[in-house]
Amino acid sequence: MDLKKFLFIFIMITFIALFYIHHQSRIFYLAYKNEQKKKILDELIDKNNTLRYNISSFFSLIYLDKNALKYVEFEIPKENKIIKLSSLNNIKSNESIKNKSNLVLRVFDRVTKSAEANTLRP
Amino acid sequence: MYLRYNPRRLRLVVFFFLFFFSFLIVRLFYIQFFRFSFLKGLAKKQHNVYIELAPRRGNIYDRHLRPQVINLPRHSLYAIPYEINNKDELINKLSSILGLSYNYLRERIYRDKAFIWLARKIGPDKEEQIRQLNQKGLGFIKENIRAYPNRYLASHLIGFTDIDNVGLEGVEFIYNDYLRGKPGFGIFLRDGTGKILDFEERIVLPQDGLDVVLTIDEVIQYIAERELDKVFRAFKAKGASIVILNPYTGEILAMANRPTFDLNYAKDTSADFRRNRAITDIFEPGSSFKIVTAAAALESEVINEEDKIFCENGSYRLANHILHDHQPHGWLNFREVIEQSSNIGVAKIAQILGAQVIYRYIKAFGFGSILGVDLPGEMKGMVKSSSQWSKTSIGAIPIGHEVGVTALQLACAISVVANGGLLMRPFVLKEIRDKYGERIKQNFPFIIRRAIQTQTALRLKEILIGVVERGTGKLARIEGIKVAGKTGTAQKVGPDGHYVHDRFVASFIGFAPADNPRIAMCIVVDEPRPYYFGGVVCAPVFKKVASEVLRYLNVSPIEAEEKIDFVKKQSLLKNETE
Repeated sequence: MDLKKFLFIFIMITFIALFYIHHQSRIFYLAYKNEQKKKILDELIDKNNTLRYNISSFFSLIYLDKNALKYVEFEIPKENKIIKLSSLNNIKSNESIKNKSNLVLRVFDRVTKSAEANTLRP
Repeated sequence: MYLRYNPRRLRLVVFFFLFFFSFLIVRLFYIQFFRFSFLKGLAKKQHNVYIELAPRRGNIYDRHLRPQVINLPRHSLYAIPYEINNKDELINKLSSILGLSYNYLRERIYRDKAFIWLARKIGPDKEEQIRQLNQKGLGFIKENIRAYPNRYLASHLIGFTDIDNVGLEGVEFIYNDYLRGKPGFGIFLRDGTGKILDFEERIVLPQDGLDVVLTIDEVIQYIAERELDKVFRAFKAKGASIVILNPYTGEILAMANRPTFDLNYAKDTSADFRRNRAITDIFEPGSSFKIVTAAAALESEVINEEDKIFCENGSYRLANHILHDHQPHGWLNFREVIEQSSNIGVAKIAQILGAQVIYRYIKAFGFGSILGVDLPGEMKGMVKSSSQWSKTSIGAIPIGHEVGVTALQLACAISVVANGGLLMRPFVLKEIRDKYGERIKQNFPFIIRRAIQTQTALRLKEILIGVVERGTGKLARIEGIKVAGKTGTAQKVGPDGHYVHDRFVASFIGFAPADNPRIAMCIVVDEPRPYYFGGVVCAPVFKKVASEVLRYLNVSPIEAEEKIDFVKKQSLLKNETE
């Protein structure tokens, strides 16, 4: 075998070997990267679970009873505080009148900024 | 000048090299073919690491899928003692951070081991302080703890786990096999520094635990616990229990006890607080037990509602015992005997019925037997067989003495009257789901037996409505909704075996709306003071809880008045259970 052929084969084998090593090291590099991302994902999942727990705690009826009612004036209505509405027909006609007046108000919307809902006077 | 060619020397050198390389080739051959598996195993040991993959423990939800338990991440601290140089200094620091004694930590860190736990599942603030120490030889492993956002709500029913997330009480214990899942494992690659890479040679994924959906309703549970808490504190009681059932299916909508405990600190609570009194505590029920005698009398047709009984003006001798009424009565009809809870009237009816008949109905109503609720620690109570009754037993047992029952048994008994005569098995598990929400298992209502006929139940229901309208249960009345119920007040037995005069168990059992029952309830208060009558202590609790629960369930007064067709309802139930 002449020298040229020998050198060619030698160089090919060397390149293949180097490519294989590069390939393997790339796999390990990606494994390290994946490990880092997995860590971040795990941290986010843990944070999510903690936040879900906090939300559940704040929505808990025990917490609401203890704390939320301090800031909200809320009273469960007894039977005699329930107001009976008039019949459906009356409601519909009242609503149509209300809509018309609202329409007028809407035209002059820029003039008045008062809320449309009025509290019921007992 | 030229070098002399020496063939002998050349042959010697060539021979030496040939021998050397032959040796190398033989050695390589030996290593590669004969020592291959052993050396491969050694390499694997160095490069690979076996890691157990923990499954996620299943969650527990109420019937509307509101979470009652959540898994939270927590890190556990370990130490590698031979890597720690400044042991004493470290022990001092850790002792102040973790709140553990110096001696305890010293004993652990000076152990001749490669790995030791120092503290399991520590809070994030302590973890952060330890990480800031940057101490070689300390490390963290991530684990999970069970966290209960509702703290003490349904604590006795839900139960808790140990440090390794193994169920110890309640639903956590009974359904541990479903909740725990199955661990997996993975063989991962690690680098020269020991760092594990996400490059598995083999992996078996863990099977996450299944989720448990309970029959309880968080809102109903909260209402029940709030009112139970009030009565427990107001009457300085020793204990209290409440059970709310769906009378047709046996589903437990709420179950609570006082004293109670925060599930997040279960291990710091005494066993007495953790006891599920509603199913473990046996007590003499007193007059609420009279529904059994009344049912027996109506079904045996020995008496009608209008038949008159002379109640001896409050004092009646039975064998060597004198029976008293809390208020003296003369002539009462059967209906009034139950409404006014006359012990003498009921004792006389019992004497007509006889011990065997009464015993049969006691057993039919589920007393003296395990009901089969899917919670640990259920007691069957104490009921003497009719052959063991003494001469005074005929006056005592029908009025709820010389018999031991649990709050759950009383709730099931009143459900018999509410649903037209069927004894239903109570249960807390509604269904089991996987983590994707697919139903794996469902629990169906189960009829234990028919205790009484539907007609008897209807007649008894009318009498129990009278108890609330005109009798001892007036404080249980709800405006706009008919209520049926029975009060109970029983003296407790002292250590010497005699009844004491200053310790009582107060109870109220009832259902509402009476004509179309949605809930059946039992409230028991142990040693209330200064008042001790069931009608005074427990009936108002029933009223408050029932009125709020029925409003929550959107039961209108119109719906409440609709009379239920028991035959149709029971046939639907039979189809569901078959």
